[in-house]
Amino acid sequence: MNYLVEVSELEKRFALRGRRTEIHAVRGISFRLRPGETLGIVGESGCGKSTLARLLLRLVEPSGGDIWFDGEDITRLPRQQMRRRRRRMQMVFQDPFASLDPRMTAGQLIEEPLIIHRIGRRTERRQRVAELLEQVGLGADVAELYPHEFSGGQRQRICIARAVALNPKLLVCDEAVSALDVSVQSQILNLLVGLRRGLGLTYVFISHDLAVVRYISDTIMVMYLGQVMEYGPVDAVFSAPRHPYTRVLIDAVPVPDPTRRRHRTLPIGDPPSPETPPAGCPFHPRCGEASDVCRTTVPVLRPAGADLTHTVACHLYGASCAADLSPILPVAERVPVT
Amino acid sequence: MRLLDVRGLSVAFRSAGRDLSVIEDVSFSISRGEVVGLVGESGCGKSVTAMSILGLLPAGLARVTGGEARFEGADMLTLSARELRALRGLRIGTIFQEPMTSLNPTYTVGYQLTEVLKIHRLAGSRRARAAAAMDMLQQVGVTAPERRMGQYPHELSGGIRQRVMIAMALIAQPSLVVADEPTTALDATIQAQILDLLRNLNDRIDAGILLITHDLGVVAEFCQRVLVMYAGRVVEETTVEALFARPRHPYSRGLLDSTLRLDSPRSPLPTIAGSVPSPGRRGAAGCHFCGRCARAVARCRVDVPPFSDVGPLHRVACWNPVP
Repeated sequence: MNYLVEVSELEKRFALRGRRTEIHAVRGISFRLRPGETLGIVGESGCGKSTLARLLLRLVEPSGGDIWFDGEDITRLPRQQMRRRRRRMQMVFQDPFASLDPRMTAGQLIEEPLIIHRIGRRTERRQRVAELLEQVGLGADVAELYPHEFSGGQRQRICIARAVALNPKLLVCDEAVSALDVSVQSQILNLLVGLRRGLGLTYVFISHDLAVVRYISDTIMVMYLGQVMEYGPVDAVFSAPRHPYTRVLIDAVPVPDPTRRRHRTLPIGDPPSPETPPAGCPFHPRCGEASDVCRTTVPVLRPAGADLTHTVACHLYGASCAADLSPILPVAERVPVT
Repeated sequence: MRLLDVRGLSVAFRSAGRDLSVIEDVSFSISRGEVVGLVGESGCGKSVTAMSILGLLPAGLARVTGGEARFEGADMLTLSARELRALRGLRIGTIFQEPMTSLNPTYTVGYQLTEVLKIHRLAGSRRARAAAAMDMLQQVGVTAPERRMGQYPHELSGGIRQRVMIAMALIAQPSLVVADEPTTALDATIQAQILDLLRNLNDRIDAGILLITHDLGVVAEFCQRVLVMYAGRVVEETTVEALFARPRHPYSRGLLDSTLRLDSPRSPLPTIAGSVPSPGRRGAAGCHFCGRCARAVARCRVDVPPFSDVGPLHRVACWNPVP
């Protein structure tokens, strides 16, 4: 089996200016992504999901671990070479207004990546821009308009057209529909699903909105304070969540049905600061099921049942059978980063 | 007895030398103990409605062009700035989306919490005021209230800040609470905590709550009645149960259909074509929604649809409502 993305033991530490402490934003994360698969990453603010996304494209440099993309180790590729690889890995951000230069027209904005990567002659590029505008549902006749003349949803369509202009293999969407109104959000999700099928894209889809992530993803990763708490096929994670944090997260989603108002179990208190993470399991201070081992030992990710692809990092599961279960992901040889 | 009675509220923004109508003929009421949701997408006029009632519209840029908003007998729209200030904080509590815009970064939590008690002479001594503030912090689930009293807003997490703002809104036991997207900036687990908290506190102080939100899940879990706004007008008003069981306005229907749930099928999502028109692009005649509406008939482009009753406590402004 070929994987498009293989990440092992990825680490990111940020030094804090003027302080001796550092933020350990991403802690030993490993996963693999098949071509055409969509990985949904959920978690609350500060859990490290955006940092993880930026690490994949090396928009921030990892402090440890390896990133393989399309059969090649890109962890230590020089800048210039890395830039060329980014033709095949693109990103869509939350705020389409901040992502678009207000002085450029929609056509220029979409043409820009083609110019940077020296693709085609001018007439060919114009042709491609028109094609892309049609593909994202805007129509070629809006090429001369400026970003402020579009609505939020239309601006996000421009960002998506820019991102797919170079025929990437991987598209990382960081809260790409979070700022949009519901009716527009569903338009953009339909577009992303259509492009995935039409262009054979692989997505890493990051959102704090569980309903959105469940809708679009094949695999779910639940993050908390830089660590993976649960990882598995979308239906397994949503229908049988194992980690107490995953359960709390799903339970907290307001249900748009007044006949189903219910009493929910809420986590205790607020998430701790990533600057001063608790010892042991990062969730233990807020967990209703924490015991002594949770306060001292960091749980490792391992299968929670018969389905070996559904893993959980929680002491409630399989402490007794841990010995005979090898980690689901082979840990690549660690090379210290200098 | 109605606590707040808004009739025919209209607001215009001054833009390039002319008045742009942003709110047209908005009417609704809230009684004590009732939670009324105001829903709609961005730009539909939810926040402008709230700001007009509170007397917080930006002077010189926006003005009320008609209607009244009676609160405990007085028309809020005609009160002086001084009279409005006396009501806000005391009789009307406000909670906004971004706590940092409501909290003053240069004063401690304790100072800001006790300020309203001091101004309105609600507690005799400094010590009594501090005790009341700490009690309130405890009620909104802030741990170590004594320590928090001496802290500044920047020292607090987002969830704690939002709790402090709720404590400030409720400390004088107001009869009306206006909450504009109070949990939108918060993580889901914190949102659930804050909504639980507001519900429990309201059981005790029995205020009327106007909850502005774009999140239909929050409405379903928290409100009794709902107003759906579109492009500056109320298009449907009903109970929460009726809205979710049988929405009658095509816009309400479209909103509900395009809202994702944790059990939504993974088929293409229903959408509403286009987007909300900005105030300058709404057109003068007819229903503002007709350009995006699959049920539009010839009349929708000509005449503004009036409200008609379609059930008990259920009214809709549409020439061709969903059956």
